[in-house]
Amino acid sequence: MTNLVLIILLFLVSAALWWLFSIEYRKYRTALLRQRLFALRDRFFQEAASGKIDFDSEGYKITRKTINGMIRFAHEIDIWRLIGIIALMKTSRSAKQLAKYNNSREHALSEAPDEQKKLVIKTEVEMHFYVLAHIIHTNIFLFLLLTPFIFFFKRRIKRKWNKDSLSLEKRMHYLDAAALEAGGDGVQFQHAF
Amino acid sequence: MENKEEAEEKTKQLDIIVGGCVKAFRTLINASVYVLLFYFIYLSINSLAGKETDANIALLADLSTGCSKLLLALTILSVLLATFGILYGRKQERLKKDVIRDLSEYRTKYEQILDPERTSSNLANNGDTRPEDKP
Repeated sequence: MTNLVLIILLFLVSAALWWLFSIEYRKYRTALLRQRLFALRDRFFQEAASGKIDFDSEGYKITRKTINGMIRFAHEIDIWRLIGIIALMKTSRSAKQLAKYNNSREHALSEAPDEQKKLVIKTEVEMHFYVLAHIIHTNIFLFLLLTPFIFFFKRRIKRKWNKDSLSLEKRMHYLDAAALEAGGDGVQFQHAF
Repeated sequence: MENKEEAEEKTKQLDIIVGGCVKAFRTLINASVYVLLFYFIYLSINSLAGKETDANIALLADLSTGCSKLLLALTILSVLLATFGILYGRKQERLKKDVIRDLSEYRTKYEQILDPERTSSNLANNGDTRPEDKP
């Protein structure tokens, strides 16, 4: 008899935990990602308002549009979407999208003074950090595997991340290319990502 | 020119297929969790199969001990706390959206003064995902 009670309790607790993680916690993480990206975009705007970067510069426009795309489709960003995007990069359309993004970005950075270049890269790196944290926290396997590790080594990871020394950071440009296109008006998500 | 259009068409189809695969995989993960949960139901029913159901009497006998009463009380309290916690969170979320809806217009106007060509994230005016962007 005790087995029956235990099984029912286990079932109810498992169902509740799964619902909490896949629905409620995911909603919270999406809202948190958006809030962080809005705050980042706002800081970037304030830097431009104080004259550190020009509103009309390509670097500012590209970075802002990319953040906008990430904010807009934050509810769709997860590990499976990232894998899908990287897999699709072999197709000609997506490769063109990535090439276009890389060319625009390199052109914008080559024209900009050093201070502006550093600001754009710093903003990008921070955006990638928030997005990656979101990806880890919204997948049950990554969450269970990596969160304890990240909890203890958060500062060290962030320091390494900010130095642009993690090769994973460079892979995030795949997502940036899709986000830049998604940041445009009237774009359907599936065609951008 | 026709070859280029064909290639574009094929790429679009591939986009749709890969997008579909990603969605299918996500659904599979979610569905497998529900299968696991129903397996627990099956186990619970199976444990009673072929036996006489003294379960209710046994349950009452179990609950009559002080320790079980305490455990039951703690369980009920936990469920109530969790429920009220979730309701509180939902209420706070609604309030937050109301604030965003009220204040976002002023922020937009301020930014447009300094940057007339400012671009937007195109979320709904309360910060929610646009209905047309939802899967």
